[in-house]
Amino acid sequence: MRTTITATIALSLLLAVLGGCGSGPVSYVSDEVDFGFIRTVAVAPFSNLSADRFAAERLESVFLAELLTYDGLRVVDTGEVRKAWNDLRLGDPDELTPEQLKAVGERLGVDAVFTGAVQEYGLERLGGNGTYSVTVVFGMLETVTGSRIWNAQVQTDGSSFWRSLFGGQPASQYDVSRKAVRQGLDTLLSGGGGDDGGDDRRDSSRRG
Amino acid sequence: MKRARRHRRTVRLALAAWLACACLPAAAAAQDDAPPPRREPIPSYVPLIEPVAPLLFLDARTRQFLPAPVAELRAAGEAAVAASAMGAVDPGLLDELQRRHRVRSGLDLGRDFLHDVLHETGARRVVVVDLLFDTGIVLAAGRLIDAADGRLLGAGAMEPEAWTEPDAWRDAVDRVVAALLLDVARHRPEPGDDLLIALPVHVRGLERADGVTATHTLLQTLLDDGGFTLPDPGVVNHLLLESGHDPRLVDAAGQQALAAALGPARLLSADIISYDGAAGIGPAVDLDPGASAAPRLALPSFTYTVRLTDLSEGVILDCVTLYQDDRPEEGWFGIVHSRSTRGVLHRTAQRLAAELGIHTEANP
Repeated sequence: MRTTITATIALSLLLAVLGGCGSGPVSYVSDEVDFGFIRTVAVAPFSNLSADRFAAERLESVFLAELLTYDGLRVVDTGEVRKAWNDLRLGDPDELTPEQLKAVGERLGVDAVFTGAVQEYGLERLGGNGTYSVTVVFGMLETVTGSRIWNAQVQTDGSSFWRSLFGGQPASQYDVSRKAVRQGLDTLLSGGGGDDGGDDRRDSSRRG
Repeated sequence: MKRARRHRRTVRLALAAWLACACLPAAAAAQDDAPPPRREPIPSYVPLIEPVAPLLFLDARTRQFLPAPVAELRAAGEAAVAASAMGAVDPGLLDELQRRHRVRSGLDLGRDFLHDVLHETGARRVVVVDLLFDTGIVLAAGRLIDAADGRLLGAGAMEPEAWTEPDAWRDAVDRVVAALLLDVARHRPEPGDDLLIALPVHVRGLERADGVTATHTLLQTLLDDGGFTLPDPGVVNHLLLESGHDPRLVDAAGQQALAAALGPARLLSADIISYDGAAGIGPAVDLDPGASAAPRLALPSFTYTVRLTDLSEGVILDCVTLYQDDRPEEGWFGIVHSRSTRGVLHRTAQRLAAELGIHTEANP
């Protein structure tokens, strides 16, 4: 009898914990590319499909800060990337032709370009409580061949089991954005993993 | 005997504790009932006694809410600057130079203009004062520049001064300008040799005045650190414009132009993006002309990002983002600390500078 009760409680807790977690990222990493050769990269302007007009800028800013916490990558300055985008009359980074990517590579001197598309961004009502939610697709395009060598779709929100059980301050929009970016980057730079990031990451993003 | 002494000590301790408990709420209540604190008068100390060229720029975009015509506001601002900067050079001469070099903004100061100021007026320093008027408030920000080499010597931004009586705006202008000039001209550490080019802070979803305050508090933070030499952002802006580059988006060619004009340096770019849910939703243009009539009470949540770029290679050396939420800061006993725009932006800039590790080896 006691064993049954314990097992029921344990199962309920497990289900509740799993229910509180967002779905993990769906990612693809090309196994035909030696990522060791990718030294210099650029972050293309993120595209925004959400209703929030600052969503792309917020995510791009967080992405850049998080990317720079990984050692070994040289990232071209944002001003030069945007100027190149304007000069070459480029549109959505995810729809670039191989020739356009090659031109970007030559202009910026980069081996690859990171892209991002924000699909959903904002407050989501779950019952009486609101929680911030982000859905974003990250990508990496090689400039020599023009092929997509990494792709990760992340859907995450600020809900948590402990918060729903005990209450408390909801996770901020920034925390949710950073969580999404870390989950995405971890599929590429840490070979998969949790929210806390890999060993080669320096923590340079803080909360005030 | 011993027991009686111990008893007396216990009673004394209990009495002290009771008194403390009784007095704290009473003191708090007295504080609530007390009249608002009287504004401290500005000290009459005048730091700018050597020849100085004051340049006043007025931002009065919300004209329908101004307390007086722009010309009157300008005259009041100039009088306030002249009252504090005793060594101010002949305004007519300066006006003629401004017209000749087409200086229309505090962020467009050519080195040839500064050269002429130095040699034609004799002023070794230029003090730039920006006054921003909004509904019932005036905000002041300023910079002190070495006319010989365009180096930034001082920077500061003041809390907005408010007025309620129709004619009280003049006093507000006098107070804010006097306080600003004292702050801008105060003593700072001797700058180091390392050259750091700081661009104006770019804000998204915040008000223009917030951008001005953020830029000046960031400059103030960097100057107070004392590890490097900062060219004035007005001089940097002019260099970029002169060589055909967009100062808001400095590309590789712009970086090379800066390096050629100023020498090897690092570039500091800063962005603030609002996390206010309401700011991001809706049309990009404010369709309601009356929407800005009510001044915002506090800053919304935001991220403040600074990037350090190596001018010689055009790659980002470091980037730090700080998130600042809009919740009030609570201290001991539930005391809520003031969250003034200037205070929040200045503290965040100080934390960013510390996180970024921009300090030189000579001045760790």
